[in-house]
Amino acid sequence: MQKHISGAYDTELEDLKTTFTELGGLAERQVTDAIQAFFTNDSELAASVKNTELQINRYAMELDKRAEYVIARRQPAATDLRLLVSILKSSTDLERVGDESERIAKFADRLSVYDANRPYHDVLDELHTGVTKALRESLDSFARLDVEQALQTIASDREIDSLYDAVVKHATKEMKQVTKRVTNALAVLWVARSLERIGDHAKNICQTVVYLVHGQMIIHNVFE
Amino acid sequence: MNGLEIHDQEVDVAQLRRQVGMVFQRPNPFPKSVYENVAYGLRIGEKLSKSELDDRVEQSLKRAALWDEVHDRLNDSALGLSGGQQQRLVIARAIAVEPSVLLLDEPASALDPISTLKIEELIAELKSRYTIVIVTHNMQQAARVSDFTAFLYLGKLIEYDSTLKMFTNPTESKTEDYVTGRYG
Repeated sequence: MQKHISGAYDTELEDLKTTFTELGGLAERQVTDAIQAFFTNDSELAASVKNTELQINRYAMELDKRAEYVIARRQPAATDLRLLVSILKSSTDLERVGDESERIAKFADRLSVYDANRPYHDVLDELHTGVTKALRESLDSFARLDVEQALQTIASDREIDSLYDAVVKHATKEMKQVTKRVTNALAVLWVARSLERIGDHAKNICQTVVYLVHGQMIIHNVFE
Repeated sequence: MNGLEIHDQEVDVAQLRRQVGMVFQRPNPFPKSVYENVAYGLRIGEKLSKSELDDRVEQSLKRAALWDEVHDRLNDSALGLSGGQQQRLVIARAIAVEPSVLLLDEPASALDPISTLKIEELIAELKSRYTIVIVTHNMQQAARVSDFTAFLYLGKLIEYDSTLKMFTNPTESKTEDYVTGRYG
């Protein structure tokens, strides 16, 4: 796209995009670290997730502040306006991804051992893989303005939902059968819930990409 | 206008101009009193008694949001008013003769920010009674005051659509470049 007559305006928007990409990278790593901490009961890694969460919050606040500055000074229109709205919306999603990751990491501290031999392990792992893939794709589609990718990722949210349902089913069964495993099964449920929510945030980001490119909101997978 | 081709040779220009009130960039009140500025067109176009004329002048000044500021100095020279007041007086003069269309050509570009906002507020009130066409180089002003926007470049109409569409998601790339400040 052609540059603005004002070079400083271009720089401000580029800086915003860069900061947003950095925030996306942090949020992605946060999910991977959190689930790793949970799977391996790594309390040190869980502590680092907590620290990174503060960094994510600072990034999100910084983005808000800079976007506000650009809106006040430049009165952005059309694509520029949509970019700012999209960054503001999606940075909130990424900030929430950070919150959910922190929640997951907390269980690494609480559980004595995450039992990898339980029957729902594979499903939880699959859920985790699906969610991190969706998040990565959502951020890629934002960076590349790739609507096709965004729509595919939105569609894949159904798989994430059914994986979540499978974890719930397994964990509920476990709780009914072995009462002493209730605490662990509950932890798995909370972790799965957080993962499912992260999937929802990835979906939100993809919907925002469609708005950013076409100026149309899609709600419940339907164009407005 | 209203199905009439205004460039047609047969069109009565004086009649057409009576239907189109015009306001320009620089306020151009007549070098007469505030009252006479508004009454002038009415005297030519209509036969009104003194009290009817008084009523119409008052009504027009009220609609132009100027009455409260000038009601006690109607006989003073219009040239003694501030720029913003003069522009609202010119609008009162234009609407006194009940035109169908008000053509405002950069009506606020010579005014300070407060007077500009007063003119914009006035436009918002008047648009329920008149079709208002405003020419402006100030894009934020176009976004603030209009329902529909036309983008003209070098004498050609590039795009015309609802103001919301034009400023959030225009169809033409030239419009996009212009409203985002990319036109070199």
